[in-house]
Amino acid sequence: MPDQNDPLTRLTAELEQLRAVLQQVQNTGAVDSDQPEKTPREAKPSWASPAARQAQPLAAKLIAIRAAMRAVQTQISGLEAQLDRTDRELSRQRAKRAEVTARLHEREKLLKRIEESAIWRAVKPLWKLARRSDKRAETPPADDLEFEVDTPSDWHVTGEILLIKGWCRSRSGREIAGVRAKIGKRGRLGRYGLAMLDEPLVPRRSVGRNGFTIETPVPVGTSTIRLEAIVQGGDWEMFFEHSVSREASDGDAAAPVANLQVGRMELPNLPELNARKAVDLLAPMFRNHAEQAGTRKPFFSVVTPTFNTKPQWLAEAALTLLNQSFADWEWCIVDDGSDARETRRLLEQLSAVSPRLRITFAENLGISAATNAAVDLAAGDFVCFLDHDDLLEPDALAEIETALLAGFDVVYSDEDKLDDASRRLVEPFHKPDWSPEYFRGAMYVGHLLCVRRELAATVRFDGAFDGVQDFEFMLRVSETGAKIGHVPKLLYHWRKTPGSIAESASAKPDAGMLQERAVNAHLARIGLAARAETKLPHRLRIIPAGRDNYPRISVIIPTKDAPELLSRCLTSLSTATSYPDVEVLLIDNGTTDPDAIRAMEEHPVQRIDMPGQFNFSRANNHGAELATGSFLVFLNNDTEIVTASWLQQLLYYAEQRDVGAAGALLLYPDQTVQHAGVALGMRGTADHTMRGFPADVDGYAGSLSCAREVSAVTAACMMIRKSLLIELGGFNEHFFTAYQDLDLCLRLRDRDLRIIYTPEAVVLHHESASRKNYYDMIDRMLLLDQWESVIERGDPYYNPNLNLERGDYSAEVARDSHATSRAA
Amino acid sequence: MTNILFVLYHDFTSNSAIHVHNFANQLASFGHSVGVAVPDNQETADHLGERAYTVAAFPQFDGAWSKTFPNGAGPNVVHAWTPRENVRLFCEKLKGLASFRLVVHLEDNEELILESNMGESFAALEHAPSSEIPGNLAHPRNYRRFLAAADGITVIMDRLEKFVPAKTPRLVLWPGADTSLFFPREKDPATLASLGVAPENLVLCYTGNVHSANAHEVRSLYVAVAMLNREGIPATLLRAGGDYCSFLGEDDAWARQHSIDVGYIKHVEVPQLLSLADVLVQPGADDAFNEYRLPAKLPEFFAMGRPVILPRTNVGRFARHAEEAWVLAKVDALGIVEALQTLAQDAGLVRRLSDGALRFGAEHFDWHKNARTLEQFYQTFEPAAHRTS
Repeated sequence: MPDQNDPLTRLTAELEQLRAVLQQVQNTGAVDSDQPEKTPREAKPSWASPAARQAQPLAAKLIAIRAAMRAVQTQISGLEAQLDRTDRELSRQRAKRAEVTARLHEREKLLKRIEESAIWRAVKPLWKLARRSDKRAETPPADDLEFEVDTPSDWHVTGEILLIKGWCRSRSGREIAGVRAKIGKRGRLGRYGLAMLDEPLVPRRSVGRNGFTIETPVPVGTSTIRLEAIVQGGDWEMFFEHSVSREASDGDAAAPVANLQVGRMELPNLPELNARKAVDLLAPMFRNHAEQAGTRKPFFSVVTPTFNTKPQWLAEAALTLLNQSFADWEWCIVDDGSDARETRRLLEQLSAVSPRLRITFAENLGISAATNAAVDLAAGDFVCFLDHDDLLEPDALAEIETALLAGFDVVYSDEDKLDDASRRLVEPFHKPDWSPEYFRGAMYVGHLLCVRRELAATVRFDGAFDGVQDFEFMLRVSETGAKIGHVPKLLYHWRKTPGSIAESASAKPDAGMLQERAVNAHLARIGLAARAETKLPHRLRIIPAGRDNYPRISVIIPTKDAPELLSRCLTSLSTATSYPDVEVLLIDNGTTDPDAIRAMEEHPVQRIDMPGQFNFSRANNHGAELATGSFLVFLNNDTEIVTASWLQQLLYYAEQRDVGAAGALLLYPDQTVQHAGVALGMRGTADHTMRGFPADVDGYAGSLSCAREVSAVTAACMMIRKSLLIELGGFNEHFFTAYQDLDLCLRLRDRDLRIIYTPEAVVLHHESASRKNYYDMIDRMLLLDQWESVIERGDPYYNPNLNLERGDYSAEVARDSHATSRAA
Repeated sequence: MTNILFVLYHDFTSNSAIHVHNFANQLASFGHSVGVAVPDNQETADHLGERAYTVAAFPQFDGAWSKTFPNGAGPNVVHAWTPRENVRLFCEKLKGLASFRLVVHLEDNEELILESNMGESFAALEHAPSSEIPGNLAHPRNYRRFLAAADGITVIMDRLEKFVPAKTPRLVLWPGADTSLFFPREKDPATLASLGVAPENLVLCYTGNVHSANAHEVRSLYVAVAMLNREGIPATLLRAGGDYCSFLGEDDAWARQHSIDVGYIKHVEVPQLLSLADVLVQPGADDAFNEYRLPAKLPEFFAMGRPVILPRTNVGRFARHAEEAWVLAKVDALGIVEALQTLAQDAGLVRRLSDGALRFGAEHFDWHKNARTLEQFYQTFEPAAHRTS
């Protein structure tokens, strides 16, 4: 009695049932496919004649019959498909079961033998031998299986997949459960139990169903293919063997090309070494690298000036270089007159080790001269600057290469510091994408820096700035119009040693003065009328130069009632602003409050009535149309001017041809930050960073104390050239209450114009006084509709490794560091 | 007469299958014998209505060709519908069973689809082990080999020709619209009333599911309708299909208050819903995804004789702006609102666009005409050498 719970029995029963149903359906529902059914349009009844009207019932009947026939056809197709699937599944299950049974059987025999032998370990080799001969003895005679292989007739095949077709049965009546094809160790189960030849589907028991098909991949070249069958309770038995050959077609041999690579390891931590030990360690690795690299021109020349470098540190730097996943580099070292014997000995002994290791010795001329000499040695397409005691991440060069191939001339990365005492990586510095204004205030680019070789060789380091020579070099590189990219990943580990800036910002006391001098020279070269002066250690503020002629600035303030706010705002405008030519336009959305009206009358302003539904964009656009100034400031009525020169500060930026808009530092009345720039991605759209920070702190590496590029500034206080606003079509009036300033800034950014935040223009924002809880979802959705893809790419000036939820520049611990390089 | 076998990468529930179904029927009506091979679920062919071709699942092809073609011979032409790996492997199997000319159809940027599905760059995937590439996607190395081996390649959009090997014959092959279902008709006031749409409302329509790949574009329609209402133009979005992702924000009241969801409808019911719309909108922009594809709904939009708004990409590059369609650089919420505001003020323009849409549809989306072009393409190939095995 078959077990109805057994899946195989169930499948078999289901199959039989399906076959019976199918037969029944086929007998009753033959479909006439010669008469195509009319399309619905054609099938519409014709109202033209009485005859046609008489024909209507017949036509309807015909349609009904055809619909029924189609339903039957659908049923047949469904059943056929189900039958086919069940049959395939049954065949597969049967073969699998037989295979599993065979394995179990083998295992049982093995266990039995183990149990029977107390000293099986001792006789294991003999047992293994015996087992092999047993196995051979158990194989049933091959001639029990009779078979025929119909397809293919030619075993020299063209396709990658070979269909083998034939039949196979046991002469002794054993029931075959499945067949498979084996090429090498890989087997492919076939489908067994098919009606032989091309007979139509017939009940399984009426004719022998010993047919099989097997689909197997065929490797290129000549192989041996074996066909095997299995019976329940038995082992796989080979019944057919043949050689099969396939020629390679295009691409068959195209295996992925491995990158030139040496073994990967963690950051090295070497004990004190003398030169000999360091050479013993490094020389074979450099030789190996040279062998792999071959004689081609390197992509990177890593440039390192040395001076009395401890062998241990240079060896650690070397190991991180040798450990790069991108190995197409050479190392150019210029020793700047070391008097430490071990340093010289190490470099002398390494100098002949590898053609990819170029080492020369110079008099002690200073770091700039030594770096220039090392650049002169370089043959690579790009030079990368590696200090003699610093370390690289294993993927550093690979990451930089990817960025450079995107079309940059210069690429820098994020960096952290290696605390030499604890051997821990500390103080990660997550930088923004290229920000020239920020760079003038803070020496943020640092390491790892890679520059197109010709560019580095042309610009060269200036010994007059030794101490900040790399910063000064980068200022001049930026003046060439080079395309500068950034990889927001920590690729460089700066060793904190006594005397380096990494250890303490005060380690180079002249650095601040040199930095100021470098920026002033830079401002003069690029024609910006301003001077730099130290604000905080290593932070400069830019002070616009005085001038004879100031362009008119129109301050546009949308307003309604709110007498106290308006009065305070207008008073500060007239008393706390030092700018000589200002007009103030109040766009009045229906003020009725007499005190507010009085405030308007008491100040030199133009009042422009604009009644109706308030639309912030439209109000500002209307003001802009009427303004006579060539620069416009959009200002909220709940602000209060703090810095007398706020308009001069904003103008300095808004005047620059590559600047779109400039915004101020807005403070809450408690002197904490309300606005210091906007970062994309906060709360799904964008928001102000550093909200609530004390106003007088540095921020994150000068993010608050220095003027810098941002993605957007608030229109609560924003300056823009009038001509530019008109060119852009003004604020988008489809935004009713929110995000129009962000939209405007993003449109400016789309034109490659920078948006600048400056802390030198300070304005109080009594936001809490005027803020409402209303949040406009349509404005939010419109913003996302317009800019979601830009927002999702991340903010170029707020590093992806920083916390975006809080916007406070704290490290984003959980964030994946798979951010890619981004354009300046 | 020719034996033609189409090979689909998926069963008949895909949009690609609708194209194959129609081409197969047309070619059969020209006197050819046509079969369609699908990986599985061959019975789904019946969902598409009458067919004049045979259908079988991949495993059923064993060289017994009489099941596929009445003359018992193998295919003269195999038209692989996409170069995806399961199709390629099936064609490799067919090589051992018949001699035929291989034509491959491209209807998407397969590299982009692969990248998007695998979350890795194509360059990185080229080095990935084959076992990691799903069979229903193009294999980063094999698919180019497959294209290189083809006797001809059909592309749904001319931009896809960049993937065609230099000397391989190619044909730009557009689909058609079923004009027995999709044809111009008046708005039915009773249906509108039954849906609760005020007669004066401007009606937009979206008939399809929303998933992560199109959520942004469908959201544009919701935002546009919300903006229109906010700006004093009463508008309603009629929506069919289901949502397979959240795309309207946690609080979607802003969107739902102006839309009517009719749920899932059959394909034959789609024209009725489309006929309620004043304008048919295909949101999107000219991006790496859109420039290589032909949105399945567009032929039907044009056949409805309503003004069509579409982006200047794929079909939008061929339609004359302000004559055959309203073509925008980017069809987002803003673009839709501004286009509708323009159309609302110009009845003549609406009439011109309606007539132009029909003309464009008749010229470009005629199954019969396009199938004839395909037939002529097949006829340019010499018969494959007869198999001697």
